[in-house]
Amino acid sequence: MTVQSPSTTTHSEIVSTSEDVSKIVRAAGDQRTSVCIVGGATSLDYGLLREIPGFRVVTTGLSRVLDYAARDMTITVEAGLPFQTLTEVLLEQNQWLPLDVPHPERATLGGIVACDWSGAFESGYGTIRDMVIGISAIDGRGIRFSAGGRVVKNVAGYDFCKLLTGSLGTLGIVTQLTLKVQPLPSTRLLCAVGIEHLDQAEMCLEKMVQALQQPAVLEILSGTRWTNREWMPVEYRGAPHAIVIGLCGSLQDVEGQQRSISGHLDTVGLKSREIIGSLESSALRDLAGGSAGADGEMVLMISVRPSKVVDVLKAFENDGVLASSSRPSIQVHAASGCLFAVYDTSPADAGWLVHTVHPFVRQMNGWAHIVSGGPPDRTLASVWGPSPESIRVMESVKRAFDPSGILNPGKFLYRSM
Amino acid sequence: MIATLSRPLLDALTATVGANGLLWDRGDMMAYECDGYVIEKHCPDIVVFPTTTQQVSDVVRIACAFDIPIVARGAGTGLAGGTLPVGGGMLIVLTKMTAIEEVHLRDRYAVVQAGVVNIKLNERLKGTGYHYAPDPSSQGACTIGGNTATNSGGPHTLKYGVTVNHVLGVEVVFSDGSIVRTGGPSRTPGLNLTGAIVGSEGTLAIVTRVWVRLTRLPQAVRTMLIEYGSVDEACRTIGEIIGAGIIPAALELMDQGIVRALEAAFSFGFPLDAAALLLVEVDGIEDGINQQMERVVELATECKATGVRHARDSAERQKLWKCRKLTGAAIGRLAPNYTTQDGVVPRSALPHILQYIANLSARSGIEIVNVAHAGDGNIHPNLLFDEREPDQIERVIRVGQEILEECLACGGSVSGEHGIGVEKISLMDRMFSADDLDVMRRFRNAVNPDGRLGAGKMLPTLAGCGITQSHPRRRGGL
Repeated sequence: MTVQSPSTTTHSEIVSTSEDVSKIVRAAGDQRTSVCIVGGATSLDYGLLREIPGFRVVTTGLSRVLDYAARDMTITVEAGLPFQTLTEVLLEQNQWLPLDVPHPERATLGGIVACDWSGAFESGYGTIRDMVIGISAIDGRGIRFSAGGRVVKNVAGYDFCKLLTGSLGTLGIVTQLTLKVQPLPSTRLLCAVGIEHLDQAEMCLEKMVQALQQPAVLEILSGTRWTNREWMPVEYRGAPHAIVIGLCGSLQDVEGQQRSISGHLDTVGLKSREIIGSLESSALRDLAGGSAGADGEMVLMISVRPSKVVDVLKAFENDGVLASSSRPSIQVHAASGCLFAVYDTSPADAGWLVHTVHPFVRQMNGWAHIVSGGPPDRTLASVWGPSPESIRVMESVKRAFDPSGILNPGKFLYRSM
Repeated sequence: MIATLSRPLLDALTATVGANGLLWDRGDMMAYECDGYVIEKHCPDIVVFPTTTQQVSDVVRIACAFDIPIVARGAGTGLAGGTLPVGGGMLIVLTKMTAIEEVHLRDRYAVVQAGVVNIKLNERLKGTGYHYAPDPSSQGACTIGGNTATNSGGPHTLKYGVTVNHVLGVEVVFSDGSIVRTGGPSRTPGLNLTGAIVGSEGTLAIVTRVWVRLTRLPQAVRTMLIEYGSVDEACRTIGEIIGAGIIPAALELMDQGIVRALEAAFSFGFPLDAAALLLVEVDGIEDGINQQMERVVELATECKATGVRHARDSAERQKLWKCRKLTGAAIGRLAPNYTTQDGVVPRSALPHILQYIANLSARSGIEIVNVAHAGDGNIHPNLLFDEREPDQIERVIRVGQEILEECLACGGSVSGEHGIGVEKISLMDRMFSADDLDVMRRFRNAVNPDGRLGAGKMLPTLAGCGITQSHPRRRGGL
């Protein structure tokens, strides 16, 4: 490919090889301009700056499956492969990557890794960072590098699979991934429990800790936007909150888990009702999309210890610290303590985030950041909150990978890049 | 090498950790001249035993002031020479930092100091229904700080993952003495430094405190020993089990050589005529467990297993695992010395690599007995030798290298769980390109700018760094 100068503020290039990516990064370096990385364009709003002038590398042309060793339960793909396509390929061998992401037909594997999306299955299967075992990327000098490999167990060299996951493309443009996949469980079951008071939610979650096996899905859904969905059991429609529990395994496994969970819920006077259980179910699609906001909405992610989740939810109730004029709908990955609050509208300015939200969450030893939307005057402090204590090291690492600071500048929480 | 241990240096260290927290007499330090990789030895110039993170920080600042290289060490059970004090310098030993500081079952995590012995945490968790899943074979001695530094595995990683999958955060001391915490029980924004520090073998920072994930103990466990007339048939069973969508908690292979050594040592009743044994463990909830076990037996039978023996109770299961985890001790009966390799191949390449090792053993005259975390494709050929015979050392080194090169040729790795240390440093440029290694060096230099921590480990350096080339194995490190 021939790399042209960006004639306008942003110049898009759809790349189909890692060499293409490398050429663009080198050209950007020569021209002292920036490189913005785009996969399926489902999370462009993630991070501080929405628009980055310079080159826009669109990775959707990098969409091949390079090697699928089904018996070894590994698959190597290019980073622009959409999640839905991967799911279909794996399904042919009765396998899956146990994630659920918003807009799976467009969301690319590279984007999922860059943003560290995980979803509702985090409770039973961990996060994307546990599934990436090999990675290739182009650094800020245009140099292609790899780490990890194609075998499921490997400790040779630094684990850049972990380091690049969640780095928002600021250390390198991911071009290739090797993923550890799982056998598809023969039985999947979703059930819901309606909750009137948040104290009941904590009682329920405490019981889940004692369950025979950690459920594959353990979500708290707060707000009638969630509980009025058509898949919600009729008796729980319109409840203030609901807990959704997902179980995976063989039929006998799932039946045993269900009995264990029902027994625990009985002791606190709660009853679960079966919803449906298939990958194509609208309930799972909704849960996958819960962390995505529509135009004009603001999505705030808060991460606290799991036992603090209910305290945070209470802060959204009337007169709570996080209450606002329009009550957000909230989805919580209860096993990890990650909470996504979707507001109909964004606050008028950044002050409420800086002076109220972030201090409140930090007081609980948690962290908050804006995933999408937000006030027009987004600042580092409003989007990412106070810097973690390791920020100095993060900035050194950024300089090592991207000495000129041209990869997705202004997106992440670095103070000067 | 420190030219002389100056009085001001000793005074500063004594003021920090006390006289009982220091060793500098050569005789006293002999136990620290190597770790579990016994092929190469080098005595440190001084050994320091801090008891707090602040002391570690102070000691590192003193080392900076006196320009002394540092190697951090736990129990010294590593098998790749990761704690070998290459070129001398200061060994910071963390075995006095043994507090289990917090256990939070509701939030499923614990906070431990780096020197906590792996098994001690599980002893503390007994009766809670939870455990800390990574269980390296040395778990009775190895420390969680050391496990973190090497990203240790163990027999149950097939289902439960390696150490990095169970570390939520770390507190570390960097090479300038600064104390920083990364990660923790809630997700922290920014770069995932925790994931990069785990497995960095002490070349980025000294881990002093670890936030570890606790995992629910399975309600039911079934353990069985399956006998085979050939290694190939055992390997074929592994592929069939995984292909059937069953992920056992453990899937271990032992060849005839290792079985004979184990039987001689522990009289468990292992069948001595079997060419290979598979130790298979499935776990989960009671309802589905027998079905899983029966399916495994069915698949094994289809692959011509000659016998299946079930652990009848918890005591028998524990004895089986004790035998498996004490293979190192049993091998001691076979030869004065041995070294364990740690290659990884795709599971489907296991029959090939084991045959390759058998041929290599016959060709080289070096006896090799094998255990493998076969479900992960992680092989542990044990190369037997006598260190009093220099020729044998040379051959063992060469044979070990050839095995790992074949693992790479199969699309695998030179290390599944032991790390690179000094042992495999010369193979890094076979596994990674010059650009890959350059980016790794840039990363290390960004975090450990003066190279004071873990010098001469993991990455081959481009030019001399003042470290004596004392061993042919480490030529790539110079």
